[in-house]
Amino acid sequence: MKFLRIKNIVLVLILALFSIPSFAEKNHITIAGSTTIMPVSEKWAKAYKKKTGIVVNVHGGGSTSGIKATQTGTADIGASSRELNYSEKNNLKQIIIGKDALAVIVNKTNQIKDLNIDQVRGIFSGRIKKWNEVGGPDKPIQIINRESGSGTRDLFTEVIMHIMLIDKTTKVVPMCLSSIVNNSNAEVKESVKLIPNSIGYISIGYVDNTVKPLTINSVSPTPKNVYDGKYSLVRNLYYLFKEENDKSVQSFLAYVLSKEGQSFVSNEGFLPITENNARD
Amino acid sequence: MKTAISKIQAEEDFALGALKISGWLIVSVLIFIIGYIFYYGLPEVLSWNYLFTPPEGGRHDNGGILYQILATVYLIVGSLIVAAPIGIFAAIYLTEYAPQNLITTLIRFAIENLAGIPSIIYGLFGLAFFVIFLKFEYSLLAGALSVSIMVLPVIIRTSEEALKSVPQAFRQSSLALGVNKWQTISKVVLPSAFPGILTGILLSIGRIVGESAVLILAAGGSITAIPRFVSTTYPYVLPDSARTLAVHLYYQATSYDARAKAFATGVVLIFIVLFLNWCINQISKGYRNKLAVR
Amino acid sequence: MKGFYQLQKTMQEIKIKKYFDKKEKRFWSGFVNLFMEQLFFLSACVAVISLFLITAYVFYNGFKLFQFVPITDFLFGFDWDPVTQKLFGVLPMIIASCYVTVGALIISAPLGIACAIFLAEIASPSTQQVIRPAVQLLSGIPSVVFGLFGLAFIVPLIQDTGDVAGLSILAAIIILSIMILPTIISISEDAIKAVPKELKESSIALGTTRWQTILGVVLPASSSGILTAIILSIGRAFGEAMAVKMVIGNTQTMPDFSPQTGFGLLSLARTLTTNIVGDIEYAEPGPHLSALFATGAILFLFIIIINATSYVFLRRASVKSNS
Repeated sequence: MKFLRIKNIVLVLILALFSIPSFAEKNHITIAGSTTIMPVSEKWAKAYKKKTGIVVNVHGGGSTSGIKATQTGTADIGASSRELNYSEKNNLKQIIIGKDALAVIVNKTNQIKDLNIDQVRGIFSGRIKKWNEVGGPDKPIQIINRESGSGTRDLFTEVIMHIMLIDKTTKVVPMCLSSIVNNSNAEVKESVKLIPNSIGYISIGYVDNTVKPLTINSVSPTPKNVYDGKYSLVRNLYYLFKEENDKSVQSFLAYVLSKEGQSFVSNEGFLPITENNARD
Repeated sequence: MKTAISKIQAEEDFALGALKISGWLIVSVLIFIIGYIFYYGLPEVLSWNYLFTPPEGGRHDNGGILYQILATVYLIVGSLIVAAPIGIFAAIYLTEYAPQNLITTLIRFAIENLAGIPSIIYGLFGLAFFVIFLKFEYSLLAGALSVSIMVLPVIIRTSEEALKSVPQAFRQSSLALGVNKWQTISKVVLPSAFPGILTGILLSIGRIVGESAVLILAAGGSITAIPRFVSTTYPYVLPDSARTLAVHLYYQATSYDARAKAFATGVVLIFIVLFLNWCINQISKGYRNKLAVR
Repeated sequence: MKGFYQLQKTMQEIKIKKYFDKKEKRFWSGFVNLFMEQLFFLSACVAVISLFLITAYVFYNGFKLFQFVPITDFLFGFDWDPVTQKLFGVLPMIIASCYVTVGALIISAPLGIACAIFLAEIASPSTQQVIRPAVQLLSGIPSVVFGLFGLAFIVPLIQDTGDVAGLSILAAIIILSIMILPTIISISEDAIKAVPKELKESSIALGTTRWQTILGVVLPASSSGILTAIILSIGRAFGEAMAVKMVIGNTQTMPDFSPQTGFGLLSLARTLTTNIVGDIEYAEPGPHLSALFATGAILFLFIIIINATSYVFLRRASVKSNS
């Protein structure tokens, strides 16, 4: 009899332990979307929780899925690394949370230093198949691409993969399908790091000394070139939301735009909204 | 005559030698894989911080895996609470009650087929049914329920074997004393079959811990908050999206620039498997001793 | 005093008698008895209901695709680009799935059966105590751990053979063969152990060597069990998602089967399973998500066909051997 009682007490204690987190629960905010913005969101989530106790859940899925999630209400905030198109602008409000540039990267063993936009387009469309066609060794080029819903890929397509035809209309050159498809900047970086003859594109926030960024038309992807307007693969990073009346969302956004919040942006390798906040 | 015999002998030696090599080859593959992972992962694990600090995300997977460990524990408890009773009861039905009719054949057919379905299909089902249709959203609950269907065949099979191995004499003598069937089962048969049933549960824990595809599809992968077991909003139990150890390992290996940490997570997973295997072996040893005494 | 307590203990040990004496308890226990019987039956039905639901949901959501895309484009299309170019071809994935499965079998079936024979017939008890736990442990290791090992060790090794990415069908084959070995070994071992002693003894009595006995008597006698082991491991290899995803590259078109890539061995590819895992994080409800369910449906169909043919095949084999 006594034995049973102890067992019951233990069971109740375990259940209580499992419940403790839920007693501490308050509102929580969900952010979904761009994998580019995820690390910054996660850092903001942690700092904000420390400050206010409110939990912020961060999901990936890509810019397009984040926009959709915000529209359907599945997410409170959508993270997008691309512009909203006309149909998406519908009822969403957006704020810029930082600036970002894309760097075209190659494996560290690659000797190439610079490419022009034509060459990059040729490589990613599959027209240029070997490195010796652009001044490198006789090795096949392995393309690393992003998934179709990616804001990063959209920017790359817009800047690189458009060609102007004789009649002044533009056409998008399709990307080569024998590329490896990765679902985030981090994955692309890991793939380029892993595969010697590879080439890919990532947000400059992810570039470090394990991969080699190229200069495009001799312009290198530095913050200065971005703010000066010289580098073309540039974009704004957005948070999207539906209503302005949701207080918890608004106060989180206010934190994001504050000086403290913007310091996380440069910490994670992105560019704060204005040059004044930028650290070099 | 001599050459014929020596030819056969040579063939015999060669064949037995090849078989011996194949046996030891597999052991060496295992040792190599585990050794490789431990070599790169053990230092990180032994700093203990890794296991007890929450994850911080970022590009280099800062922080530890505390939330992931919790999520894994919650997942195991959540899915076993559902799968164990249903599985054991189903096994009881099949061994104690089931007549030889169409329904029984259908039930056995269903169990066999469930066992053969690849786990990614369970993930798709979990996504379509629990996440979308029942509106659980990405949550440990959706993951736990999907996983519980996945381990149901394992529990049913092992429980059935355990129940079958209980001697008929036990049942008959109990019924002869006038005890009804349910009392017989709960007081006589189940306690005897307990070691076998426990083995089945341990095997399913092993499968649950190692499962990643189902969870990516049904539980999402958020690491920013400590997962909760109960909450005050729908669906009330395991409502949070969370990452288990296996899912986190997948992201560590493919996205984060933190290979050493990936190996460390691997070490943790392997330790769990080692422990479960050890428990299973202890049970079967104890069982054998019990039978030997008789 | 002591005697009284001893009597109480004996009474408690024969718990059954407690209920026998109380008529009221007998009524309730009768009710509980009936209730539990129904509960057991319902639990068993959960398996049937689950199988039905799973099949229904996967196929229903999969068939939604064919409102947008003709089924022939899906099954026989060469390219997969669901969002940008609206291409939904899974033929490369079907081929890749088959390729890695067959490749893994070619390596593991002989090796696994040999190990099973060794364990069942030849190994000393102390050797068995080393090898059998090793096999058990191998079967318990999560697939992502195998994937990590493949990514960290096997892929760089393959890269060293030439100008290849390393991520390849070959990497998937190697990892898969390690993963299905335990299945083949343990089920084959059971089948071999089940061969009656008399058969082996009569063979030895006729003067054959151990190996000749194994080859001529044991293997044929256990062939249906070994075949079951192989069929089960085909299912496992065909359905493996995570480990393959980490080492195969996930391209969107037909793998390169030219001689330079060893007729596909060194080429990147995408299997049915990796298609689902790779795209599911961002696929939107609509044609893309339905296409992923349709991929799952194809996977499901393949497994059903494999299991069904093996069932028919084994039935026929056992009928033959009985007659």
